[in-house]
Amino acid sequence: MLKRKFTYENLVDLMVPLVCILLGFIVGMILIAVAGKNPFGAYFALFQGAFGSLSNISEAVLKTSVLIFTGLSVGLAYRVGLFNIGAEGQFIIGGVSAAFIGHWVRLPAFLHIPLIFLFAMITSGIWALIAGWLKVSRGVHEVISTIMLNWVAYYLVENWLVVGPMAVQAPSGSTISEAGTPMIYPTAKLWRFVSDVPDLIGKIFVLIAIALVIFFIAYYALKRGTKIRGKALWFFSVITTAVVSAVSAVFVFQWQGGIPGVRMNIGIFFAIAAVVIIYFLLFRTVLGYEIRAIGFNNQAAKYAGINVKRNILLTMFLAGALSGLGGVLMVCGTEFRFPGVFPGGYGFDGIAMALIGQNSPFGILLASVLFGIIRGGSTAMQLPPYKIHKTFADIIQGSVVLFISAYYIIRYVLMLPRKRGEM
Amino acid sequence: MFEQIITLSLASMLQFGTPILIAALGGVITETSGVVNLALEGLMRMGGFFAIVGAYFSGDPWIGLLAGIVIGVIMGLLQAYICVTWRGDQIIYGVAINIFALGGMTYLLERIFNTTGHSPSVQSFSSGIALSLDTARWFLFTLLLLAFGGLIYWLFRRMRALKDKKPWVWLLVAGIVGIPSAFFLSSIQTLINIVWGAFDKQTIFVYFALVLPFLMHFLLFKTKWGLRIRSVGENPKAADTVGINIYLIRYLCVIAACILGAIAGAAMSIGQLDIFDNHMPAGKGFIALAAMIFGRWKPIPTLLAVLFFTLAGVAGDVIQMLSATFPGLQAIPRGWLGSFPYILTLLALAGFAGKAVAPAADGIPYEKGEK
Repeated sequence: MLKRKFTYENLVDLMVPLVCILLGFIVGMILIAVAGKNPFGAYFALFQGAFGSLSNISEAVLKTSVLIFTGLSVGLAYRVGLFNIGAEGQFIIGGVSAAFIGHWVRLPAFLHIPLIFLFAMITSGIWALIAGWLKVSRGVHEVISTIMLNWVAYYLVENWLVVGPMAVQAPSGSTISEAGTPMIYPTAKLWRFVSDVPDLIGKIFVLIAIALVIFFIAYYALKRGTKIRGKALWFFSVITTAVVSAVSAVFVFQWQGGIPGVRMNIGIFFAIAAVVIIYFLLFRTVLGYEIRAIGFNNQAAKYAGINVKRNILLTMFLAGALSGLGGVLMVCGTEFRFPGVFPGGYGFDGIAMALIGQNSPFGILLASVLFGIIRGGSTAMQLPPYKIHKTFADIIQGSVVLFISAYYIIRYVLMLPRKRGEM
Repeated sequence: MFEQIITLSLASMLQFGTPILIAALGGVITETSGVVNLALEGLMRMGGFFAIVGAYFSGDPWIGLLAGIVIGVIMGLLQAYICVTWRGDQIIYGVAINIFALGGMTYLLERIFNTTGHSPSVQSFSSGIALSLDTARWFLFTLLLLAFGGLIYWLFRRMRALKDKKPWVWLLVAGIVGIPSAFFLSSIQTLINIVWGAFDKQTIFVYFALVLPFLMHFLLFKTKWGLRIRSVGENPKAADTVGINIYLIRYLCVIAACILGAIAGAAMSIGQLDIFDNHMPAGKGFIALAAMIFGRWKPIPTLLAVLFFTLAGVAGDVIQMLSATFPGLQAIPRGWLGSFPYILTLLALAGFAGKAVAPAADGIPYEKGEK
């Protein structure tokens, strides 16, 4: 097997995003200092806001899981050479589809949630496909068409569907526009970790899930890290699993539920699964190879016999589906309806996540964790001693992306010590 | 009734279209020189905000406009430094500025004015320039004369038999046909009323926006500098070979575009209104980009494209006005009307984009000594 040589240049390539993030934070610090506040204290408040209590952590996790989906959407499209600015619109379409199936279809939970996922993926995928089709058949640049589709989605959903045909029948006195769509059925809600693990069967399922995850982790850790093989390997993994599961069983069965502020749900697992799936799709399948080939050199891929149009359309559909799943998490995990004022912006943040994560699935995961924390914590910075508006997170995000666009400058600076050494 | 509707929709077209047109022309000049500017939306936001800040602290809208232009120059230098000198990804830069403007202006709005919704009102241009009916008549006459002249010039350019005639032939024909017909048309009272209603109390930005496409056409297609700009956008290597300073041209064009973007923002904040609303510019920068593509990266077609989009944009207002007489129209939901300009944009791009060809080197950074 070809062993890649790890050079200083590789290190620099890895370091560039980190340096950009660091510079972004420094810009934020300068802004806080200019405002006459203590930047270190403000950052401390930020991280306290993100990790201070269980409900704060859960908010950060919620934001992370949605960011992962929209980030993956942009990142996947980028791999095929398309810049999917339409993640926001696809996100809205996914959310409204979830609200539709969630309220207007009655099914048991094990069918309801998969149906929502499927339906939202199809609708938002088709929404993204419009831009893909315009690209391959009419030559419309996807940046413009996806931006236009964002606005169309925004107006059609938030100014028509949610206040018109899908609006909740308002009791007298309240305004309809604040209400949004009716609540989805409990069967359509994604499980929340702390507040509702409902019954014995649920707890047993959670335990089985924990046991399976622990087993795989233990098995691979032992296989990679030690020289234990054969029956002993199985034996030790099972022992580890049993011990950890027993300990967690104590906690699981003590769960009484009922911390109302904690909204964290199983969505984060779907998000992590999506990261792994997209990684395998891109780097372990023929389709992924073709996608990357097209993104690398459209013409060469065409002459190598790859069906460029079909792959672009397929990728765009998948990208839209990913964004749509972000919207599903928002509706089924957090809001339980499509509210009149939809907490949007995740689609645009997804662009930043993809750029900061350098379009690699795991990079996007890390970027989303970081910015989930920042966005979760930035609400705490609004409190009295600092009173910094929460759009501060946007500033940091914008400056990080700005530094990434100045890629060559940062690379040049990082390469300086090496050059001096050569001379 | 219909006279009133036409007047009102023309007036709101001018208001709606002015920032879009100015920004779109900014897009034209920068992309002609080969640099994509996706940051127009963010630039409009910044320009609009700093214009308000300048006007607020000085009490003079001109200082506000100057403040907007200064921020345009600064952002232009930044973009040129990153995207031209250091060959940064132009699309990523645009996205970064858009995100940055979104958060940064909200932040500054809160720091400077202590609000999150909109700034306090300032001295602005929004009272506009008052026209008398008599001025309106002469204005209409001039417009018609220019329109006839332009039409005849275009005919001369297009028809093979007339192509090689001397310019005075064209001027003579334009004078003989144009002056009497313009004079006759401009004496119709209804037309005078419509023009007066549309242009009365419009801001200086409207006039600026209406003159700008022709100025830019002249700059790009009739001057030495325009030829240089176009050659840098089409084939930078060839331009470099004949000794054109590519970096200088691109720097100038990028800065010009950023100034125009900032002015477009100022046209919204201290032009149309006298406040900065935190939702500004609500996608107008992107419509400007679409109009630029629809106008095939050329100034005068861009003007027509903007007219087309603004027509769609004011369709909602017109339908609202008409629904007083035709109650059936009230059933059309607001969301449909809101999405109409964007759907129209998509359809227009789908129908015509195949013919549109961007400047060949658009979006590709140039490196000296590249093979």
